[in-house]
Amino acid sequence: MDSRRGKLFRLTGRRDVERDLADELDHHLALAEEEALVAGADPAEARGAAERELGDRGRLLEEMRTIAAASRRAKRRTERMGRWLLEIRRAGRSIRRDRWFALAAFSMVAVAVAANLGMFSVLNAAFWRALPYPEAGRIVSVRETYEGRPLAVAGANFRDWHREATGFAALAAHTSWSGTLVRADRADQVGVAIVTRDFAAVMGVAPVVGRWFAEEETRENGAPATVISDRLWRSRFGMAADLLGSTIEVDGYHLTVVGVMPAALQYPSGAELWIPAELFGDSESRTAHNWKVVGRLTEGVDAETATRSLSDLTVRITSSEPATEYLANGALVRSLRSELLGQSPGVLLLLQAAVALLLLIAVLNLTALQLARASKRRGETVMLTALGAGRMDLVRRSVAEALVLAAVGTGLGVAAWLGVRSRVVPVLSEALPFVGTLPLDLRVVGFLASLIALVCLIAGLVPAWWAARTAQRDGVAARGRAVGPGLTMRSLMSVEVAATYVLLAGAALLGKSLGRMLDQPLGFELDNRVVVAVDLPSQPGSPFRDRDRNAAFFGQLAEQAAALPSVRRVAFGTAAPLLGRSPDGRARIAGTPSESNVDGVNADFRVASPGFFSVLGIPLLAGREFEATDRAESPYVAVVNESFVRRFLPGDEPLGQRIRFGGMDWADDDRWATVVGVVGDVRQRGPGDDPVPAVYYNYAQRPQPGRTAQLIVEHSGPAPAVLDDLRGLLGREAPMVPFLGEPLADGLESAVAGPRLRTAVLAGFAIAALVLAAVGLFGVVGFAVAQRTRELGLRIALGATAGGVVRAAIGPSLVAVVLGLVMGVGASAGLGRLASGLLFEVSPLDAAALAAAALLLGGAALVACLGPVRRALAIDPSRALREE
Amino acid sequence: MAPSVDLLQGTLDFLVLQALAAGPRHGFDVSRWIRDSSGQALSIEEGALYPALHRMERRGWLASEWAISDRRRRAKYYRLTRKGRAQLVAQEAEWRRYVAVVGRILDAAKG
Repeated sequence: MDSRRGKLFRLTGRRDVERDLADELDHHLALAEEEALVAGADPAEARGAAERELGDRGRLLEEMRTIAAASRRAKRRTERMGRWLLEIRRAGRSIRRDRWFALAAFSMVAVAVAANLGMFSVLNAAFWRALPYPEAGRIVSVRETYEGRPLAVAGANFRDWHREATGFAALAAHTSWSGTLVRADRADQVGVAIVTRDFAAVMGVAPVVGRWFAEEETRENGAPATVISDRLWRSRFGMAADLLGSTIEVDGYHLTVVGVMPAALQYPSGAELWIPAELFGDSESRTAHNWKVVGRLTEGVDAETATRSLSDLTVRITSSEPATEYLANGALVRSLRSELLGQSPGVLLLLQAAVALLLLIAVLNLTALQLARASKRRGETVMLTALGAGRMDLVRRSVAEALVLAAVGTGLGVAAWLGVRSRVVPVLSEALPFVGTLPLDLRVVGFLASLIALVCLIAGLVPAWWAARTAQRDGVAARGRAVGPGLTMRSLMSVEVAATYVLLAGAALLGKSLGRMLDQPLGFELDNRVVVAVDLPSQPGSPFRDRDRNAAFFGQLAEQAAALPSVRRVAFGTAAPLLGRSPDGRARIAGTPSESNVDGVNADFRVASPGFFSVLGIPLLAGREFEATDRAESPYVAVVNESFVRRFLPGDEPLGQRIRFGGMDWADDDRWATVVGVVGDVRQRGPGDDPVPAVYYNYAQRPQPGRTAQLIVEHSGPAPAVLDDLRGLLGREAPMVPFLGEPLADGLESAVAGPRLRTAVLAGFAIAALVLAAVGLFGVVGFAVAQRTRELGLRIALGATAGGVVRAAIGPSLVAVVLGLVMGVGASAGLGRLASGLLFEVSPLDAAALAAAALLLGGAALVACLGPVRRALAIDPSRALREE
Repeated sequence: MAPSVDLLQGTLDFLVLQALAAGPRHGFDVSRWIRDSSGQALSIEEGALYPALHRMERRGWLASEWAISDRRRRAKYYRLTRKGRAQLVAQEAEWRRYVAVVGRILDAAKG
């Protein structure tokens, strides 16, 4: 009863409110006047008393009007909310009725949301989430520069910086290596970080157990101490409390464990124990670039300011030295994050762009499906409009449906992402070790909310706009004969096809680039070779510190390995391709300017045993390989590679040239060597690497204690068995050395792991896009056929050929697809240049890759049309014409 | 007529709620009920009553409807809503506490 009256009141306009206010006051006046008259006042006096009681009528009315307006506004707000809730409930019911549509819509949104959420979580961790250190924004990485080119830092320069630099709360140098931890007859490989004393202050991290290094542990020849990682403490020492104060052996050093760092400290990457750098002393050289430097900026100092002041200081401290390209004349301070990110921002942004396209495709699909639905219930819409429903009512209806679809789809997408997240994190942490667990933080949730809003906006407003327009134009009479949403849908399809094309083309280009990389001639044989890295102890007092003992050990080890079953040939050296290290230095060639000038010629320094080249299948181009007859005491011989000859000895006979290559071993060995052979180039670090000039020395003449050497074994049987035998052999011959053996082919795999991963991820996105686009096309073409059943029936009745029917049924859709392809090719050509940095020997306009993408997409489009075409051909004209 | 007492801030709302406790009244009736039941001691400040009624209606304490009065005039009748009744109970308790406290203070001053 009451509520009905309330509803009637709502319909009364503002004028009635005005009248009610006046009436209410007049009623009071009348009664007050009457009361006064009864009490015996004369009429004028009675009127006056009544008016006085109410006060200034104008002001009173104004005040009441304000209250009325406020309450009207509040009422409208709750009504609006109520109407939205009603529409959402209605949308839920209507979607539930349309099972197949709901399934398609939900899964499309879910796929796009899961991909976007995952990618954005990674981006969020890489660019915005704070690193797990207190006030991490103040932690910076510092480099020396020569003419702006960043270099690692020389120890002497670091010590001057540490003493004099302004703007830093703390500065620390560090370097890392892979060491051997020996304990209870077991040797393990561990990441060792050598750090100066202020390292803990820079990172803002203190040991969770024990303490950081004390004064007597941070001076030359002080008490050897170490702080270990939480992981090492748990995995290797079972969290033993009595570990503190005990001694562990690393690379022959006996170190007292004084503390355990928290798990959050993951710097330098892979470090499992930290050792004071000061224990070892350091050279006074200003050109030995041995250190990485990290710093904590003083509050309020930014990286630019610090760069400027540190550059000035660097110029000052190096001004007295003879200038070379190895002597710093500047400094570069940048955030630790940018150091950690390295080259990955390009890849991350590329993949983020890819998932954004995927989202676009899903939204366009959803919009097309919604248009189809809107078209099916056009009768209802026209009726509603005739009954006075406004544009806003149509928008509300359409946006409510989109909201329900987006919300459920997003929910499923989030669930899917959370399901795979724990599997993504380990893969990712190989490339970006600091990203952590990718939590759903506020930024990610905000991103999700804007995704939903975007979906609602496009998939809600476009169909509403179309429905409002046609409802207005057609009116009730035109029902059934009006133009469908075909053109709008086909435009959406064109954009969708273009977006899909861009993704496919990107994946095709990366795929081709990866293929090119894998097809690259490496310059050596990969199959049936295993490599075992052997890192002999070299601390003072170790027998293998001696050059001859070291060489003898490897010679013997190679002989024993050659005697193992299914082993064909064995060699060793310091620079096995892919796995060994190949430092560069200054070589001098007799009789050329490089003999006497400061810089010499820049070449890689590699040491190899007899048989090294033949075991690896590196072709001998001239002269001979190393022989057993090249003995330690005989004149030095060298082998150079093709690049060396091309670059430094063009037109000369390389054999017989004399080369000097000093500064590469512990005991500086600067004797002249005669070139006895020329070998082919190898891609030392993998297929993406260009060959560089290199000089090889015979291991017997120039042994390398202190440097890891690799045993290279050519075998005939299966690799695991051979590796097992080698493990046994090394365990007998050198129990203090951890076993690090793997097939050479695995080295290639890790060299191309990055390109392979990004190609696989992009290909996954492209396939998802292709499936979505095909589903969308299937829906749109199917809808077009269903809508034109009557027309097609008429054509068949009038004797149209099958070809004519097919043309009529899918012609316009195919035109849209072709248009989309053209737009896609244009967009790819424009965007390709952005990705060219990720392509290896493939042009971003590579015709074959672009054509393959077009063929694949065109083929998928045709397949998507098959079903609708079959339906069009199966139309029974008599029934089709009778139906409407 | 007894000397009138100034209404404390917020008191008017309480008095209006009290006036409507027994049943629906129109504005004039409310003002007269307050005057008469206070023994003529309280009179509403000029122009305060109707804004107060409307504000309370907006807050949902009162509901109103137009009806024909016993004097055959069109009048707007106010009544308490459930929310208004709860408000009345709360304010009444508050007032009783307030009066008791002030009374104790006066007694103490006397003693």
